[in-house]
Amino acid sequence: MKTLAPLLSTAIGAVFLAAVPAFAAPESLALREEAAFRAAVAAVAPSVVSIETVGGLDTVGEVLVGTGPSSGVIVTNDGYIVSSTFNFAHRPASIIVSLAGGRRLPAKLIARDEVRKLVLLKVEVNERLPVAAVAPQSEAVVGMWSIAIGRTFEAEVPNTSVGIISAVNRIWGKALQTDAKISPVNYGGPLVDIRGRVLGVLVPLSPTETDDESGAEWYDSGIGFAVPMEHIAGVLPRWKQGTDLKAGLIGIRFRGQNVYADPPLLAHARAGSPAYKAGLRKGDLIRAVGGKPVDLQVQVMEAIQSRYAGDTLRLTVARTDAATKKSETLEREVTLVDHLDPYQRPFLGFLPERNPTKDQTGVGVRFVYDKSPAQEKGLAVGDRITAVGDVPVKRREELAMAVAESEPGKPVTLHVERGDEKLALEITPAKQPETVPELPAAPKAEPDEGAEKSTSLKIAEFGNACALYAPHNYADDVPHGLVILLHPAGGFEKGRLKGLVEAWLPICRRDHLLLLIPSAKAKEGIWAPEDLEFLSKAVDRTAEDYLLDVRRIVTLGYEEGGAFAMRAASRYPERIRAAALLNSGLVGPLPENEPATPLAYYVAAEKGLPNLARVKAGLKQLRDRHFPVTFRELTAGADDLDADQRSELARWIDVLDRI
Amino acid sequence: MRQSIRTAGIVAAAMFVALQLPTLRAAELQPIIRSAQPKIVKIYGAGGYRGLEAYQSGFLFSAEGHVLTAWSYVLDTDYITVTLNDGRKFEEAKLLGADPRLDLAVLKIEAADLPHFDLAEKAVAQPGTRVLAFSNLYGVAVGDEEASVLHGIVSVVTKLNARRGAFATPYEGPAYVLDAMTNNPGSAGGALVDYHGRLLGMLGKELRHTQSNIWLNFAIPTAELRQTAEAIRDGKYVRKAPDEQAAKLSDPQNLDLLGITLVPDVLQRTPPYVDAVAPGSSAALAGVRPDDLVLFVNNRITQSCEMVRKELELVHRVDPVKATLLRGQELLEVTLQAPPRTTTQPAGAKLPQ
Repeated sequence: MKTLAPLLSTAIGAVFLAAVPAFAAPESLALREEAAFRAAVAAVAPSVVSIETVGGLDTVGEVLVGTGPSSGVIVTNDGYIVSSTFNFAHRPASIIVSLAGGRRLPAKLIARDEVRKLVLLKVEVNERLPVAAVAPQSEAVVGMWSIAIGRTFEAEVPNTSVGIISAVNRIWGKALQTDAKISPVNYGGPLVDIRGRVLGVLVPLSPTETDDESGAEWYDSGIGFAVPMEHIAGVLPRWKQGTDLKAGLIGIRFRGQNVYADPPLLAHARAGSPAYKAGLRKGDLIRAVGGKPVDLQVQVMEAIQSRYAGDTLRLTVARTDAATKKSETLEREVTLVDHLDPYQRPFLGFLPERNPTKDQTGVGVRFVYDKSPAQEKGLAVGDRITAVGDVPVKRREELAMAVAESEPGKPVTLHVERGDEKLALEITPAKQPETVPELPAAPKAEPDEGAEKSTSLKIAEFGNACALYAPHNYADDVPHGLVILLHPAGGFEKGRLKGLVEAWLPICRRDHLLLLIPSAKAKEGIWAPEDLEFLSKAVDRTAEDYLLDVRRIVTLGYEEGGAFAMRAASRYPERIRAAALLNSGLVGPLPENEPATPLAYYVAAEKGLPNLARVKAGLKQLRDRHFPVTFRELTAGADDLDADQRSELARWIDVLDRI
Repeated sequence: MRQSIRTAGIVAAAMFVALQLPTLRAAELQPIIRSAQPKIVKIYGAGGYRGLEAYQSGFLFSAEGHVLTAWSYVLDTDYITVTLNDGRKFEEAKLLGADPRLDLAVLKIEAADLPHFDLAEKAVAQPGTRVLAFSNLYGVAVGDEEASVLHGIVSVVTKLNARRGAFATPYEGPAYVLDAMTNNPGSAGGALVDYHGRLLGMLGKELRHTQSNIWLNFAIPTAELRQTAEAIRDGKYVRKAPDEQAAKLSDPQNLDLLGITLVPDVLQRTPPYVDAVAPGSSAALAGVRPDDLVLFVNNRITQSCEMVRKELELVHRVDPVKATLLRGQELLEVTLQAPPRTTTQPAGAKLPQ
């Protein structure tokens, strides 16, 4: 290339320059394509409108929203127009549509599509508006020209960007992907083929986030999305009724971690959910959705995530009888809903033994809550639980999961061995308690061997400082909980940190806890999203070096560190099982309450905290999701727990593995 | 000899056409690129710290070494270096003049018989016109390395400040918004060329939409640059005050003069609803009513009470004001006129008879 091309091209250049100074004959492919682009734009331009808004919020989330204009596509000749929700995130008071000729009309927002991030507008007109031709979705193939069009700079002339189709069926099958430049200057506008037929409507989408603005950070990055027009045409009749199209929820969870490799075997069907009502149960294997065979969890998820609340799915399910090992095939109709009642974790009222004991069957009971359902049915300390219903259990985690996934609203049958006796106790679960029980006297305190020394925990790609304290009496066969102490903005003052470590180390020795004290990476001591990842890695590293009790990994955050403690639990609920916040505001988004991730919250705030009312409102939101929340109001001005409160917090940690 | 090379060239070109498209495209573009590259220069000057690059692009527009480029901090030094396409380096290029309103500057290097663009060529691009952009983006080309070539189309032709405050640029004329990523350090001052090899304009500086934070790729059309560039070249340029246009009017319109009271401006973005109309005022005569929403003033959207006031500040008191109102679901257009100022009459108190 390097040797030959310059010579040849110079020669060709010489020819053309000599012949016609202004190169490019009409038959030039490049110029014929240019003409085709322009013709395509001209064909669709009459049905591309400009949209301006008046009033509304200045910011959405923390993003300052632009004040438009934005683009839209006319989809019916009587005045229905589709645009992107991005332009309506700020809830404008009035919407004005400018047609291609410059005529302005007031528009009404009819409905939103929360799944595909579209809005449907309507303008009142007497004449018929031009509607663009629709390209069949089947004709969209990777590599074909695709032209993105907006009407945001000039009322008379649309702005265009030329690219190709980069992929089809993106974002759970919801969108076409293009490398044309997609940004707020054309969100809501059409993506058209070389003949000017509409392939789709341009929207910011993200495979993981669902906010109105998510995906917009990818503007002009070689990746942009359009919702296929064929799909929009299909839902239009329903959408015109004025009902928002919302994400369809089914209420199932699969067993296993890898959605791309594991079969769609149900771990749980939430009580009251569409799946539960249709008769789906734990252990069912989904074989087909809408008659289309599925092998992997991701295939089922794709089928659900592309559908709306109200849509009905036909599921083909294989159910194997545990006793007879006989399999039957069931056909079930499931109608998706837009809201699921949150999961309610059953509480029986006992603490299981943590150490797996050799030569013993089942899981031992180490404490029974006073007045709990378990106590009423006679469960006693020392009993060994061998099975939950027909599920045999050998370890605490198996026992906890079996109870968590038990049939909602029904009694749980515990098979118990008491000496030589074998019992079956039918226990009706109660709600998770928010009070902290008095526990039997703690085992004798270990002899004081002087203060423990910390070790420094470093993770290669992170610059965070992090100290780890292990108690003197750490033993390899005793699972230890982990308390992660998170500093306020600017870090702990030295004296304060010393005091905290001195207060916690005796508790760590008594209750078998490790103490982890990470620092924010930023030198100003402000917690940032990158620190979350560090924290997760630091927990993993600790688990490599010590035997961790997965049910007692707790973040304990002071002031701004409290919000970070809560974020960490929301982000990594499979690692961090509880968050304790001191004098801190609560932060969203809240995690889902799931059987496998039993999150609990402890919130303490001094009376004079300026945002106390908002903290209390946050507690309500947590309780609405059925998370157990323990709230303590501290005396005005208190910056920490007193000794009694700290010992209660220690007990709160100690009972996190309650069942 | 020359003849045989030509023949070889034609044969090769034919083979390219017959063989594959990418090669065809490259072949088509070669004459344009070969013709443009010798006219592009690399400019080095002030900067080089804290994200301010000490380089930009420019192009020759006379055989005697006049270089057109973007007016920027890079030129704010006595030591401007211009490097030609063939590697010739001219230290201490002379800054002949600059027009901050157009963001344009003209440099002069001491040379002769240079290949150059002709500003009088009058090539004009339309939306959809295919373009090539030549620049030294990111300063990646050094010495005799040629400028980088980007391809794209003209997305739209527009006035960047048509929406006041959207873009922080003093430039008021039409601009080519580009569907090509020219908005990069070092691109400013580069040349935009069409697929006939004609100069279309000069690549603009990095520019961001002040509200949506979207970076904009744009070029200023040759026709807008020509007069000033040639005036500077010929030593006839008289610098205008850059803020001449933006100067505040001494006697602007206001809502009181027109007889309109808007709802109290309590929110950051209070929709401009009419609260009251003064009896006998211009607004009353035009039929403005309480609860009308003022959508546009002189065809500019007014998204808040604040914006209505700001728009009126830009209208002379003696000029009529066109307002577009939303009443229910109906759009109404009215023309309002402030009463003439008299010595005895306080402003807005009475109507012209």
